[in-house]
Amino acid sequence: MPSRPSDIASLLKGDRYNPDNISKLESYLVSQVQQADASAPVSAYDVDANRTLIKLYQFFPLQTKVDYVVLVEALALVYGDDANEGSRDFGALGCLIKESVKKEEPFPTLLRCTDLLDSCQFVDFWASFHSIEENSFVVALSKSQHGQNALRRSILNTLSLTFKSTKLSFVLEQLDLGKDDTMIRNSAIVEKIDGDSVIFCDNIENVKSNKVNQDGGI
Amino acid sequence: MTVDDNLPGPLKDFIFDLHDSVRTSQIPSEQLVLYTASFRNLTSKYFEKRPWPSPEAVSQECGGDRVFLAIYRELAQRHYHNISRPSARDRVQGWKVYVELFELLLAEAQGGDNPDDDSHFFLLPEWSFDILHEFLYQFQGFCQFRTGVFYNASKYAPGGTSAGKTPPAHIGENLEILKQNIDAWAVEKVMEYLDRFIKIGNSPNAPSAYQYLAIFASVTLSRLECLLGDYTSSLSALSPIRADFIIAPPRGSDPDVTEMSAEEVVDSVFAAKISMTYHAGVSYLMLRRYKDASKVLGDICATMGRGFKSGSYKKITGIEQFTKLYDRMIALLAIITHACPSYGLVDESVANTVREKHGNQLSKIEAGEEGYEDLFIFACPKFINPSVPPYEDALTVGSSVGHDAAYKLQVNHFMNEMSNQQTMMKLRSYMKLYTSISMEKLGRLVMEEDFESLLLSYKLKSRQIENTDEGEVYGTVMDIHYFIKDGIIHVDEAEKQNRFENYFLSQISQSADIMRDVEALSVEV
Repeated sequence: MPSRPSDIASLLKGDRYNPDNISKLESYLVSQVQQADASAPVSAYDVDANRTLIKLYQFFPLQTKVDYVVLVEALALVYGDDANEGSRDFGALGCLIKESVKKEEPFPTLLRCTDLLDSCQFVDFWASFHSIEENSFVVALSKSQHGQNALRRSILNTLSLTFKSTKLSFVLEQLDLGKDDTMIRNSAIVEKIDGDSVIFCDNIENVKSNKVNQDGGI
Repeated sequence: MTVDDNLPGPLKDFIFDLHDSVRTSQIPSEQLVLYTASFRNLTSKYFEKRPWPSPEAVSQECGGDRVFLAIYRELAQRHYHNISRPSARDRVQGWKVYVELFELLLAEAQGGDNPDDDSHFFLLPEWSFDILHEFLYQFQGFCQFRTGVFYNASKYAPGGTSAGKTPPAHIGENLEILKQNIDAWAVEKVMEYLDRFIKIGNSPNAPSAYQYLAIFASVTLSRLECLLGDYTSSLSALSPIRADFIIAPPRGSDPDVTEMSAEEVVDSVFAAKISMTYHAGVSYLMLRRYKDASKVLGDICATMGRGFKSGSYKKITGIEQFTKLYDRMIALLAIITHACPSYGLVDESVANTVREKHGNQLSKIEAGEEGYEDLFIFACPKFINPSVPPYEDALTVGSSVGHDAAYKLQVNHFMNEMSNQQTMMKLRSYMKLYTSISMEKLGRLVMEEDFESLLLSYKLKSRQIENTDEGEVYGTVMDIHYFIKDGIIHVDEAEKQNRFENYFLSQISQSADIMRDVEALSVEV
């Protein structure tokens, strides 16, 4: 995946909150969802640059483009390493976005998607996410192989935090994979598929701990 | 400000000495006496209810030094804002004072790094912090003021609560002043000044005066980002305040004064430390980093609790401001320690204070009678809307949002974060009863919809980033550990350690308090 372009890097290091930066950051945002090929967008996800754009909209509200605000939030949700990070970044960005912007679709549906990810209701999440029609960028993101796989990796990570083992049918359903278990089989965090069970690799969360501290933590 | 040609003798001496300490001798201990005690004494003697003389009036005492006069003007203006209720014009004038001062100070920085060069200056860390702290305080006040003016004016627009009535004269006047000075206190300019101080003070060979300004500009930027709701940037603004950013003692220091790190410089100005810690605590809380929040807030509250108890804080000027922040931090800790019931998250003394001040409210929250909202509203900062309102629409189109929209946005985010807290606490209390239990059986006991998702979600939300010696890592705020294998939930609970020493320590401390009270009694026989 390409690293941050040099003009964006110097913009972020220099006069960051100059309103003249808005159009450059908007183009950069769109390049994070435009597909270079099936496996990758043109630019890597860049939360720092996207947050700067949201801040510029906060400072200069007349220049706000709601479609881009929605896209920034959708990207945060999709590219979190796990469901927690996705919804946490979504929430943190949401603190910079006025309530009036959040009233029009697809924002309410996106908010519902975040709540569903946060409460690990993944089947309902997929249904909600795929129901978004109003923003062409988000629709493209929700249909892209790259975006869907990023979400699946995030959800699989989340499952591995609680489950040492669970039913394959359950995992397939949570990942919206139908009957195709290739992604699960090839995942680095899955030890093996044994009959109708998925066994996750050991991690600090899904095995017996040696000692649990009084102040929380293992 | 009044032009006073007949300056009292002590005032003339003060200006002369202060100028000397800023420009020539640069002796920190002398400047401290002048900046704190002398200034306070002269204020209470001559200027308790009126402004200090204008820079023009005192110019002769300092050889017309432009930079010093700009520094003096800021000091005098700070006093004026303290004793008066600033009007729209006063607020705009405030902005001009800071622009003049900052442009002069930043221009001086370009003048070479020769320490003997008289174009440099020295300001104590306290003074550097006070300038930047007040700068942001006036910015915050201005944002609230202009939002308030716009909102009040919009009541007279069609559809507003006072539509059809003539607005009072002051509303029109204020709108006009704001329109004519639309660039005053522009948020991007405020950030730009802080950024320039940070860059200059962090550059190689920067004189200590600029290093102090850079350090406190970072603290101020962190506070600004928090007030804007950008908690991620608020925390990253503190990254220049590191142990390896070393500041050499100023050239006028006593021989035994050693170099300090940026962290130690902040620690040496208590107002800076408490402000920095409070805003960092709020940012950690809003970013779901409850352990980091409780660590920074708990440490400073423990220190302050001891200070209040020993009476050593009574002599500090401005202690009321510290007390307010202390109360807010205790309220934040009440929320965190209730949401994450783990023993040892905070010091026992702090936990006691939380129980004393908020025990009642927490019991109601426990019983489900109310939520954390009231505590959060009491504890949170005064968030601001940084954008310029569309003044031309105020009386014609009006406003669809309330004047407190910025603050409500943050409260809503917080309440959303806490929305599942009760359900998770219920799950935890059931899980603590078992070492292993089938999912089916626990599901029947807990009786919540989508029980499987709840198990996943509780684990997930408790997994949070924390600062450790190895950097930022994922930890957990749960005091239990569970995982699921083949349909069975396995639960490990925290080992209960018998903490006898805490009992003895608290009894010894109470006994010492009683003895102190007894000795203070005077008994005549």
